[in-house]
This record gives sequence, C-alpha cells and structure tokens, in this order.
Amino acid sequence: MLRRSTRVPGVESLATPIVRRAFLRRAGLLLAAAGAPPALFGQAGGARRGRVILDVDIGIDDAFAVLLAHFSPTIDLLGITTAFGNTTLENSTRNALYIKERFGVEAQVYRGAAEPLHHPRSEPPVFVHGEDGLGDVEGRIAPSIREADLSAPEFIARAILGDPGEVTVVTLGPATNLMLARLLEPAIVDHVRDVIVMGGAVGFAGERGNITTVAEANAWQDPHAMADLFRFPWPVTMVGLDVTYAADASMDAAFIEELRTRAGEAGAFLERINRQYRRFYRSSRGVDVTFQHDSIAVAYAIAPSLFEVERGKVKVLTDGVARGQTVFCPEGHHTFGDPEWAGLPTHRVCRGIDGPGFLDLYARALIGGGARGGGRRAE
Amino acid sequence: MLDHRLIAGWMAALTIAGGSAAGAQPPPEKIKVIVDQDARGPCSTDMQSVLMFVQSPRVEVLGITIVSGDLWMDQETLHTLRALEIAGRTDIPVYRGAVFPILNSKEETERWEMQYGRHLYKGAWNDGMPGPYERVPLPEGEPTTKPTAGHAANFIVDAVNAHPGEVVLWGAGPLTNIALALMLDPELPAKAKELVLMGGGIDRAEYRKEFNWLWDPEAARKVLRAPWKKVTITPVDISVKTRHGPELVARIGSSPNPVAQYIKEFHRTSPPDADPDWQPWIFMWDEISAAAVLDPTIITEQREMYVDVDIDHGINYGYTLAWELDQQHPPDARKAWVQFDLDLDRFYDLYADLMMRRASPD
Repeated sequence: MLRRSTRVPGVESLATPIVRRAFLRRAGLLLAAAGAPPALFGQAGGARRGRVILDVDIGIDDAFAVLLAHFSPTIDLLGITTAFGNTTLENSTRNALYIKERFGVEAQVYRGAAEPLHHPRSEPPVFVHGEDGLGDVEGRIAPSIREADLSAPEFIARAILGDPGEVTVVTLGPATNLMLARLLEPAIVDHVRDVIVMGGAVGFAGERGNITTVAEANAWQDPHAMADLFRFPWPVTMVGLDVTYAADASMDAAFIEELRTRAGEAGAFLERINRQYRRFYRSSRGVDVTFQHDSIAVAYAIAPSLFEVERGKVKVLTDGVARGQTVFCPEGHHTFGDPEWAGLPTHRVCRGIDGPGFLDLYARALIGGGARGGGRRAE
Repeated sequence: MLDHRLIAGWMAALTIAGGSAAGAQPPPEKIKVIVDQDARGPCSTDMQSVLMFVQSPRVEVLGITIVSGDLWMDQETLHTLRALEIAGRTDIPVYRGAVFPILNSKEETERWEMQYGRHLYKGAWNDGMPGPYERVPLPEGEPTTKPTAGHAANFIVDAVNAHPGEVVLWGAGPLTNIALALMLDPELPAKAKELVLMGGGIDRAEYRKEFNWLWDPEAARKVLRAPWKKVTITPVDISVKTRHGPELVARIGSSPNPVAQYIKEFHRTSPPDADPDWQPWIFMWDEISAAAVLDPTIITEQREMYVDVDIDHGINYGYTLAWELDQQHPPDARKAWVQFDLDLDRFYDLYADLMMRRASPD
C-alpha cells in the first residue's frame, strides 16, 4: 500500500486559535471581546465531541488531567496511552488502569514506551510523585483489569489513520509514544487533527526549567522525541511551563477542599493524591499550592480561548548540559540564514492563560461529573 | 478360535513396529526465523538472501519484515511480494516496517556531507532515487499479493513472544524495525533465541563505514546494546571475499525452476570498470549471513568481540566500533560473534542448490 501526503501545505487546522495576541496586547489592541479562538470541539449537546487520545505518564498531575478529560462533556476520550516519565512504565500503566476501573473510564489503556528513543533510562522522580506515581496514599494499587493488547504507538497510529483529520493527541509525558507512532506510520503527520504537548518552556514568564534550570521535565525525559515533534508540519501547540506555572492557575488548599467535598469520589481521590504533590511544591518552591501542568494541557484541548498563543518555530536541545531546553523563534524573527532554523514548520506556543478560567473549567467538569460518582457516559 | 501363536506374532510385530517407530529420527525441528530486510529488488544480495530462507527446507520463515535502506520500504515490500510469488511461497507473511530511521534524516546526512565530503553510497537517499512513497514499476512483474496488516515491529514482538526461546531474528538491513520492537517490548532480547545481523565492519576504515548501520546509527546502537542471548554478525570483512559472479549465475541458470530463472534474468552485475577488490554490487553480503544460519559450519573463522556503533555527530557518525575481548571498551558495549572467513566452495554450493530448488512450504 503506497500513500502520498494529502496535506496541502499552509492549510491550517480548524482548531487554530487566534494568535499573536501578545502582540495585540502590547499594541493595546487586545479587546476583551476580540480574539477568542473557536473552541476545539463542539459544545455539549451540539456538534460531535472532540476525539482525544491522552498520552500519560501517570503521575499525580496526570491523574488530575485524566479525570478532567473523562468528566468533560466535549471530549470523547478514545484511549489512554502510557509511558515512562513521572514514574515507571509499569506504574504508569497500572495507575491508568486503576483510574479507568475506579471511575468507569470507557477508553482502553494501551501500554507504551518504557524508555526514551535514545537516551538511557533514568530514575523516576519519586520525590515528586511518590514511589507508586500517585503519591503513595492508595495502599496497594491492584486493578483487576488489563491493558489492551495493542501497543500505545500502534494504537495512536491506527486511531489517527482510521479517522483522518478527527483525532487530537494530547501528550502529558515524554512525547516518545507519539514519535514511535510516527515511526510506525509516518502518514499520521498528515492526518492528525491537532497535537497538544505539555512540555517545554520558552521563558515568557521567567520559567525555563523544572528539571534543570533550562529543561522542563517531559522535554528533558526524551529530548529526541520532543525535538522530532517540532520538525513536522502537523499542527502542534506547546503548553509549557510558561503557562502551567501561572500562579492564578494553581490549585490552593481551598480549591482542593472544594473538589473533595463537592466532586464525589473523584474529588476525594484527587485530594488524597494531591498531598504528596503539595509537600513537593511546598519544599521546592515554597508555595502551598500545586501546579497542574497536565490538566492545563487538557484544558487547551477543551477551551483554547483560555490561552494566549504565539506562533513560531521550536527546537529542542538533545544532549549535554542544555538537554531538554526548548528554543523558540517567533514568527517574523530574522535568523540571518542560520541553517538550523531553515525549513522548519511554524507551530504554536502558549504564552498566557486565563488562570481563574482554567480553575473554573476544572471545577465545573469535576463537580458536574465527579459528584455523580461514576462515568458520565452512564448518564 | 484364535490362534494364540498368531496373536503372539502380531504382538511381536506390533512391538517391533512400535519400537522401530520410536527409535526413528524425528524430522529435525525447523529453525524459526524472522527475516528483517531492506529488500532491494529484483535480485540483489537483499532478495537473494531472503530467498535462501524461503527455499530452505530447514527453515520456517515466520514472516518477512521490511525496512527502508537500499530502497524505500513500500517499494521493497512490492519486490519481496513478487519474489515470493515467483518462489511459490505466498504463504509467508510480509510486513511493512519503518520508512524512516529513528533519528537520522536526509538533512542530517547532507549536513555530514557538507562537513566531511560525499558518502559513497546512501541507499534510498542517493541522488536521483524516487521519493519515499513514489512507486516505480517492477521489471520482474507487479505482485498481486498484498502485505499482511500490522507493523513489522509489532509482528516481531508478537512472533518472538509466541515462540519464546525459539526464534532466530535475522536482520540484514538497517536495524530500525528491530529497535522499534525493542522499544515496544524491552524484554524481547531474553525471549529470542539469537540475533544474527549483516552489518558493520571491523578491520579497515572503509569497512567500518557500513551502510546498514550508517542509515540508522541510533537503531544499531540500541540493538547492539540490548541483552540478547547470542549475537552473530556478518561484517563487510567477510562479505568482500565473495562474488555473485557469472559462473555462479550460469550454474544456477541451468535449472528451469522459477527462482533460478529469476536469478538468471535479474542478477546484478558489477560496473565494467570496477576495482576488482571492491565490487559491492556482487559481494554476497547478506547471503553469507543467511548461510551461517542454515549451516554454521560454513563459517571457518569467527571470534567474539565487543561491537558498537559511533553515534556522535562527527565524522564517524554511524561507523562501527569494535574491541577485542581483552581491550578496554565502553562498559555498556556487548559481545557478539563476528565472522571473518568461510568455506567458499561449500557456501557457493549451498547457495546454488537453494536457488535451483523448487520450493514448497514443506
């Protein structure tokens, strides 16, 4: 079977939000009513829900994000693909199955990459996510269900090719599974609807790294995968530390308490796993809040209008002291013929977020769905 | 009334028959092989080695997995399907595999050439080659069969897991498919019987720059550093001792069988002004490696070494690295049996006999 590229160069995804809002704001042109990007997916009761694959390294903040996707009425969760990262692949897969079973997530879990494309395996950050990846509060995590037979990369490739132009992939861990899927089926570049990546940091707000001083964790974990991702002309949106460390998007004790008391079993579960995460941020950043990097990336899939986005090229350094550093070249910036920047496609990088809007979206999804206990599909 | 002596006679006969049946040698277990190849066609060392496995009564080919290298994967898949049709072995599944290397790229190769000079051979990246998804008519005829659904890497994982400890994984192209299989199932090395590779070179600089590993150096690094039970390597050093020359072709062409006629019609010849010591078009690179799986006694000299691939993006990117066992080596490098010499007469005999056979699934 021979395939040819079907993407017409330069034609953007329908999901493309209004960009260069930062420029407009600097120019004093950003009006409250202007520049609201169209929602990625149809609203509840309206158009077809957006078909999303969540690629996770569960992970405390991944667990928050999976439940957000699960309880969001505009998302049709096609599958959860697991990878190493915040924890081992074993833990990540088991935790995904645990959440699927406990909260009635219909989507199957697909086991993926145990290690980066190229770098050797590194120790998981147990001081962030605990030994079990979920903050060590659940006792023995022993789901009675198993993952699907299909591997994560093959599932991603099949899902995209089986429904051309409809499937959005949101990566919350290292981008290894997605880039393995591209190695299996290069045509996914032409047929994916959107790629939303939690990872990287440009430094718009001063945040440049949470592993090293220049590297965000997912970009550091598999810099080759992350670097590769930005080389291709699919519509990528980078949701990096630039927005995920926004103070007004963080979850404080009162917000978590609201979830615990009003979002049923899901809320109680999130409050428990959040304890370890809260300790980590208290000790590492001296703040009594938790930063929900992954839920913010899922929020972009649900409501891109909450974000300010800038267009440009992204490169990721793969080796040495700057491993995992993301380097951003905004559209229109002259690179004086430097071949490193020649021929790269333009992508989108989030540079601002409506923090309260994000928290409101999160609370509404969880309190709407979580409070009813099981999966909203059963409504 | 029954004659008891007669019954006793029957019993004795049955006992003898039973005894002799039990004492008979069962047919030797066939070697289960996964053939991973950048299958240039028609003919070429790639396809001739594939046909050796296909034609051998000693082998059960579980599947043929295709990877880009000498040509692009889809075109190679068509050539392979056609070769199986000619051999009458369309029962063997063919799987489409990796189109592109894991990290290496055409741009990266061009950057290398800007700094260090032209590569002699770049396979599918050679100037004038068709694009990755371009289809070129097949001189040997278009196949009517289709590849089997599923990706090569997944097939490798599934097949090795279905026959733990039994599968010889034979890779004579770039190692992208096998590296992907390793990423999908990191426990794969412990479950395979043996890994046999054509690739790399040891003793001379021009040998160390070997195409299969040059195309995808990171895949070769990953595969060579995995904990396989046994690794055997057919390097350039031994390939250059062989020739797929006119006499051999004439001998094979004397058989009317379809594979022999395919070889006679489509065998590759060396360019007329070729250096007699360097005839890459007719070196039997991959056939040696296949022969060594079918009959290891054809190899007369081999030794264990540490073998690795240079992945630094300098002049030696993709070059083979090798150390004798008593030499200092990187701690993560692993041992492999490296072949250096062979019994040429027996090798040519084995090859010619296989190409002249009429294959059957039995």
